[in-house]
This record gives sequence, C-alpha cells and structure tokens, in this order.
Amino acid sequence: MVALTLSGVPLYAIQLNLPTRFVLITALVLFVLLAVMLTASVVLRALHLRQEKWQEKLRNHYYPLIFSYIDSSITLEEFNSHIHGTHLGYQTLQEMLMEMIQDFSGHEREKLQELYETPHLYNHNAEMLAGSRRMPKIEACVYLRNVSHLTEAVLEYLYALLNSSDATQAYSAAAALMASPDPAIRAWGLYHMSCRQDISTMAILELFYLFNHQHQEQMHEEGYHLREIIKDPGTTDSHAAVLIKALPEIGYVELADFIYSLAENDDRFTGNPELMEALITTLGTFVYYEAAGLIRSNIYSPWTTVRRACAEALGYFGEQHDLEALYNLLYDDSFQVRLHAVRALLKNGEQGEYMLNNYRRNKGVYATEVSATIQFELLKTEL
Amino acid sequence: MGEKNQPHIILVEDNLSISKLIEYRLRKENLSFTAYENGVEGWHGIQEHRPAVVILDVMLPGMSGFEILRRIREDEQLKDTPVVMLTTKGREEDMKRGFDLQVQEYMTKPFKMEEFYMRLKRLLPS
Repeated sequence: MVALTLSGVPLYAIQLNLPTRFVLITALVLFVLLAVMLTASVVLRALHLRQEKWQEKLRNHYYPLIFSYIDSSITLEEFNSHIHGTHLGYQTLQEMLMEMIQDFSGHEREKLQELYETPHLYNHNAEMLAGSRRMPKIEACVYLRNVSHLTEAVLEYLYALLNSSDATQAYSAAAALMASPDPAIRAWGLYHMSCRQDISTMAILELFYLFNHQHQEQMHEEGYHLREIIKDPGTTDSHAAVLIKALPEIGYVELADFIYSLAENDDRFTGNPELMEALITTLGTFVYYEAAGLIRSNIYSPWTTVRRACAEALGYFGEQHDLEALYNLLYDDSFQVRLHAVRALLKNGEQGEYMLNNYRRNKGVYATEVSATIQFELLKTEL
Repeated sequence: MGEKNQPHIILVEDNLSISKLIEYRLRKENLSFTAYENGVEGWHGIQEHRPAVVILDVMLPGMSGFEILRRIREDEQLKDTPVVMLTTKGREEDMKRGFDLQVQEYMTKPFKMEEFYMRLKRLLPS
C-alpha cells in the first residue's frame, strides 16, 4: 500500500504535469495517513485481544463460584465478595448468567436468577441507566428486561427514557418495563410506544408478547389496559391494528365484545380500512357469532382488504347465511377476495363444496379460476 | 479425571456453560470423565477411551452428534454404548432421529441437573 502510494501518486501526477513539490507533499500526507490508520488498527486489535483474554480469565474465575452457589456451598454474600467491580467484570458475569438461565430449569435456574439479580449487578446497571451515555443506557435496559422487580429509582429513569427522541433508547426502556409484575407499569410502556410513529409494528408486536405475563394470570387486568391503549386517540392506527390482530394469539377472548363494539359504531375504526380489516379478522378468529351479521354487511365494502377479511372470517362461522355471503364473494373483482372465499367454503365441508360446485355449474364469471384454486387447495391439503 | 477402574464417561458439548456445570457435577460425584468441545475430537476420544456412557450434544462443530451416534452404532466394539443426547426444546424431530439410532436417554434444554444426573446414573454400570 505504502509503495503503491509513493510510486503511483507521483507517476499519475507526472502525467498531469503537476509540480514536483506538490507531488511529494501529497505522497507524504498519504503515507502519514496510512501509517496512522495501520497503527490504529493494530492497537485496536491488541486491545480487543486483551479484553478477550481478560474475559476468559473472568469466566474461569466465575464458573466455580456460580456452581458453588448453586449447590449452596457458598452464600450470596460470599459470592458477591468475589465479583470483579469493573464494567468488564459485571458484563462478563451478566452474560454468563444469562446464557446459563436459558440452559437450565428448576433449582439451577432459580439460583442463577438470584445471582442475576444480586444488588451488585442491579446497582451497576442502575448507574449505567442514570448516566448520560447512550450505549450503556441501552445495555442496562437489556439487563433489566430479565429481572423480576424494578425499583422506584429505576422506574423513574425508564419513564423518562420513554420520551427520548432516540427511538432505540425509548424502545429499550419500554421493553425493560415489561419486566415489571405490575400490568399498569407494563401498559405504560406499551402505550408510549404505540403512540410513536418512529416505532415499527414489529417492535409493537414484540412488546405485546412481553406485555403478557402468562405465569402471573393477569389476563383480566392486561385486557383492561389493552382496551384502553387500543381505543386511545394517541395510539397510531397501524399500532392499534397490530394490537387488535394479535389479541387472539394470547387468547384475550374477553375483549371480543369490545372489538365488536368498535367495529359496529366507532367512527374512527369503521372509517379506516386498516383498522376495520384488523377488527373483522380478529372477530373471525375469535369465532364471535354475534358479529356474523356485521361481517356479512361488510362484504360489499369499498376496501379490498376489508372484503378479504370478511371472506376469511365467514369461513369460521359456517351458517347458511354466511355461506351464501361467501358465494357472493366468488364474484368479487379482487382475486385475493375470491381466493379467500374459496378457502372459506372448502373449510365448511359438504355444504361449502356444494356451493362451489353450484358456482362452477352456473359458469360464474371466474369459474375456471375457481376450479383451479380448488384443485390447488386440495393438493396443498394432501401434501 | 476421576479414579482409576471406574466407568469412564465422555462428554461432547460445545456450550461452555452446560459442559462446565456437567463437569462440576461429575467431579463432585467423583466420576471419571473426559470432555470435548468438538465433534471430531469427541469421536476420537470415544474410540480411544471406549467409555461406559457417552453424553452427546446434537449440534457440534466438526461433526454432528448424530454422525457420532451413527458411527458408535456401526462400530462393532462400541455399538452397545449407552448414549445420552442433549437437544434444544422445540426440536422434537431430533428426538425421533435419536431413538431410531437407539439413544438411551434424551435431555431437552433447558433441563434440571438433578434429573440429568439421575438418568445418567441409571446408565452407569453398578
């Protein structure tokens, strides 16, 4: 590289008839720059290797201590007295414990969790959270996601971070709040993120799964908070839609009435295709029979996504009225709608098949396409 | 490691936290064992030591746990060696494949150490 610079630059410069002094200075500057870059990379590599070596040493120091604590050969105080009070010392221990918690269950897991939440580690992370540097704050949030209790001081810092203009920091804080056993605190985090345009729907979905503490049997309280978040005008339409669609995955069945009421008479929801599609999809998945009439009345909606959701939902109900509505959807302009109508009819056994055969016999506009779709769907089932 | 004339155990596991904890337990029970982090080295170790029991992870660098298991079953002198396989939760197809190759015990991660040791003890010659 150096040789190339020293030889290449002057040659190029001679071709351009540049003064010799200028050429030499340029070559020298480039040479110095290269030397600085090379030195920097060598130093960084050396530092990295040194850190790896240190981590290896620390791991070997911690393993026997962790195992001794697991089989109660040492107390928590004794364990704490051996923790290295440096950032690397805490970080290594934290990483080790996190890995091990995932690999073991029962007694080992309980003991590992006790070590993970030892005041030394907790306070170190609380200090990072209180500091001003960005990355340590995010690292602290990652740690806090896996604790079982959040202190008041830590909660204050997390609440403040929720309003950060930095979306990553705000999301990290919200995810950390999901560790709280209190559903109201978790809801606060989810709500703040649901109001932000700079948070993706995937991130909201991830928070939604963290929000549900299945082991604590808080479905009722969680349901209450989800209802409030979904109907809050601050929640963006996309985030409300994603939350509505995710409800059946966790089994918030008791929210079906609420979802139905939104689809029936809430202007914000009925006037928005994204929200309406989400509501109908969820009502179908819940197999909420009271909504069948409302869904049937939406099969002529001007929005394709809504009609597609209707086709999907009606397949779950399977009453004569619903099958007739599905039959009408076989004449829909959109292929997506017709495809879902075929699928829904096939789901309804003999009655559905009778309707499909009827459509083919009557040589409906899309009879050939419907026949092909049926063949394809049946083949898929066989496979 | 461990005392002479004791049944020897071979542990092939690349996950450091699991292997260290198993090693700790085996050492505490005063059992003789050798641990490997790599599939190829593990297979050589099995051929060399002819162990009483083999503890095998499914995913290993160099050679997979199933490949080692297949070689054990095809080797005239090793084919009856009891094997405990360690696999990750949600990979039930591994379990079927393992039982087809006559795995004696299956442990799904995350697992309880006590349960693991009880199962291992049953396979050791008394």
